[in-house]
Amino acid sequence: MTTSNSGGKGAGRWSWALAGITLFLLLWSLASIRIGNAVLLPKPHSVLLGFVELLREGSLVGDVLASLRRVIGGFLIASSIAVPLALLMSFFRPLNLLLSPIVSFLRPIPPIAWIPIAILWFGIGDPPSYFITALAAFFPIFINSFAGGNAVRAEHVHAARSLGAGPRALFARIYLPSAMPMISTGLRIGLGQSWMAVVTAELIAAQSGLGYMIQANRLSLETSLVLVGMCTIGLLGALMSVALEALERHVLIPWKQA
Amino acid sequence: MRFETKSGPVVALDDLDIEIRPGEFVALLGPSGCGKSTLLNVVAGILKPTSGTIAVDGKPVKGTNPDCGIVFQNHSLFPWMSVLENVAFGPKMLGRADPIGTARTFLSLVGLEKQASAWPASLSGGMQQRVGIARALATYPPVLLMDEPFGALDAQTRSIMQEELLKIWSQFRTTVIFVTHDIEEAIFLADRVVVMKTLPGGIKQQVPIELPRPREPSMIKSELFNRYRGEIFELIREETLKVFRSAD
Repeated sequence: MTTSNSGGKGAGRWSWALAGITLFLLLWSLASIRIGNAVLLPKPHSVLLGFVELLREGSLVGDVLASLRRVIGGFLIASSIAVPLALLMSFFRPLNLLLSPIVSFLRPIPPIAWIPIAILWFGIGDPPSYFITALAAFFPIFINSFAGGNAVRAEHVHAARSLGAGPRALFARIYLPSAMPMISTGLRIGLGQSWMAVVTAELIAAQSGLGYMIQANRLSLETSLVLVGMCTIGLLGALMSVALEALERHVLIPWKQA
Repeated sequence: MRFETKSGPVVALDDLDIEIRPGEFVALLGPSGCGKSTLLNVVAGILKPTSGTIAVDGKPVKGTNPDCGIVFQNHSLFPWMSVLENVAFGPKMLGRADPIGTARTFLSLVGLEKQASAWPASLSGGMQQRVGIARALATYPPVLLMDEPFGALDAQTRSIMQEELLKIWSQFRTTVIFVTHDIEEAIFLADRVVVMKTLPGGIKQQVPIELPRPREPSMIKSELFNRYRGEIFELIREETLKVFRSAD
């Protein structure tokens, strides 16, 4: 578990973060002045202007929502298959032996390699994007949940049985919470992977979303708008990660913060 | 292999038998590798005996079940439940009335009512074991199995826990089987010390402890206590030497 947000002296942390961002913007400005070509690297403030313009015009919000919908949809599809499947496989050895080779075979195929077949199967637009985001989130969630399913301690099972727990209570109140720290890690990594994959999918297989917007602006040489898209992706990715950490702390594994 | 608590009870490991009366406090004592924890796990239903059967109150043991409450050495509290939820778990699983109220009663019995809403990880080792004891007792099990429950505690905490355990036990008089490798702990707590043997594992000798109850810490200095200690020390030494030499 990351401890990035636990403890830390609030004010000090924030001023360091602010200094880091300022340094980054400074280096970027220097580089763009040195290069002196707005098509290769526009200045930060022209990116900011582009950002404001796209916000006012409304297309940025639309693209963000399109991408977010695909990520969250794919992420939910992946979680609802990967978590139960991984837990079942860790409890039933035959299922594990049966499916492990398939998983080992499919896992190394990067989501981007699935895009051509996704287009053939689903066409252009939302369906192939959901497919790709779900695929990208699936394996991190699956692998971690599987490890979580094997993480249960024998003492906890014996103790629960001696206290009268039946099979259903054992699963819901012992196995599931034992696996939850790993599941939660998997969800965090899976969401990140899914977010990265949506851009890839939209670059090729969609006509909306941040990836499509970046691609369209590249073709018209609007580099500052390409950078608006990239910065928005970075910002939203960081926000989602923070949100999921908060969910982890308060809902999924609150006992780990003690 | 049989084990009973109400009518002429018997335990056998290999070809040996022990009689355990209801309400008796029995300590299983021996060097590591003598099978004392194995015996406990067989009684608990965690391990299956290769031959023979075990019965508690005449019912054969088939797997872990609520007739035997278990207190482990450590790490057996459910870390994802609060202290109170841990203790309430058993009564809830068994469908008893008011599991939370029962849990509160047992928590105050071990002096931890103020820690009810804490996570187990935030408690000291001694406190965690007290929660473990409260949790095991909260289902009113006929037999309480304790597997070196104080083994991971420091000496001071340990002796206080022993007194606390006896205080609680005197209220319930449940049958206790207590595994330890600490001679003084076994004598101080038990009505009878069962010294285990090695190679093969089994029972070497049983020593009834006739110290009066309630037991006081001052008894550890008494002549009778010393005599038990000397006697049991010799028995264990023979067994430990046997293991030691067989390793050459």
